[in-house]
Amino acid sequence: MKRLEYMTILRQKLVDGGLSNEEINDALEFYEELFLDGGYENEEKTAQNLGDPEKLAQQILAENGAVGFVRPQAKMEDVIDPANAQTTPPPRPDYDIAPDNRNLALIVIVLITSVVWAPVGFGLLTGAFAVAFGITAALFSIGCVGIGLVVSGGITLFQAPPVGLMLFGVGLFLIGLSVLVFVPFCKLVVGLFKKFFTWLINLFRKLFNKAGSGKAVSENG
Amino acid sequence: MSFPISAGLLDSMVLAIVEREDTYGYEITQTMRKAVDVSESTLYPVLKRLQKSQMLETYDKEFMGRNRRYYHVTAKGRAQLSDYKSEWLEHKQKVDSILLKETEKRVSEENNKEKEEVLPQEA
Repeated sequence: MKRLEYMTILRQKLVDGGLSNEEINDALEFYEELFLDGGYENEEKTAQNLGDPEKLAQQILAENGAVGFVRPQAKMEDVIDPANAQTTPPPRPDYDIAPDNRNLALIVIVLITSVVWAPVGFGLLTGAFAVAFGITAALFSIGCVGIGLVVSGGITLFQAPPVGLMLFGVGLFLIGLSVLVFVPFCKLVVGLFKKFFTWLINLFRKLFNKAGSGKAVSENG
Repeated sequence: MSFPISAGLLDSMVLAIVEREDTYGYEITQTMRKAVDVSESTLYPVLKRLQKSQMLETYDKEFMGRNRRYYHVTAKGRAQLSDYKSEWLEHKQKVDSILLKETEKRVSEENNKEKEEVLPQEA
């Protein structure tokens, strides 16, 4: 064990033991000096001579009459009662920085690769638009044809009644068909695009919120 | 070690080391370890105890950009040390008188033998 690690554990254990700051600093200065005077290259050996830092801390605590008073790491109530656990959140661990960095890196990657995926994405999007528009137009034209057939059927009815009747009927059929399909199809297409855009917006918002501040992460998560 | 070091002995040895020359923690522990098997964690309370009872006082001295705590024996410490010394001498002689008696006898016997061997030649 090196000096830094040893001293960190020793300090933590003394603090946990409820020793006064003065006593803690006094003891830490003494042992720090032993490490420093022992030489950088002998730190492992010095630590070995001193023994387990936890035991040393216990010994120091005992000498100061503070033995037995050990601050609990986590209260039982905190573990059992979720309400308590929420009101006193544990200190943010250091590794929380990592996800933020990862998100930032993700954004950078997304931006760099946008050269590739942006045209593809736009192509697919406009394609979907075109298909939706085409089907809508087809339905509209079917409706138009239906109207045209009804009109011409009405006229032909007087010249050649059976043909006129048939044209009239087919026209009505087409109008009915287009209206029947057009309304739900429009609803479907509009719904799909709405969903797609809200998903896209949420995606970006999440991405930038996470990278922006740690607070947003805890709020989201 | 068969013979445990008592608190009084530790105190007196540390006082003796510091009395020779003001010195710092590491050197005290190293000097002590040359003679007896004690760990640094044993010596820290000893030094604290001697400070509390005003036999030792400390001062900081800069060494390579950091502070080194030097220990100095007070007048009270000196008086205590001389008491310790005479006490130890008495203790040591008493122990020796029993523990080392046989050895002393044998040594004197050997000396006597040598003398006897020498004497007849002269005679």
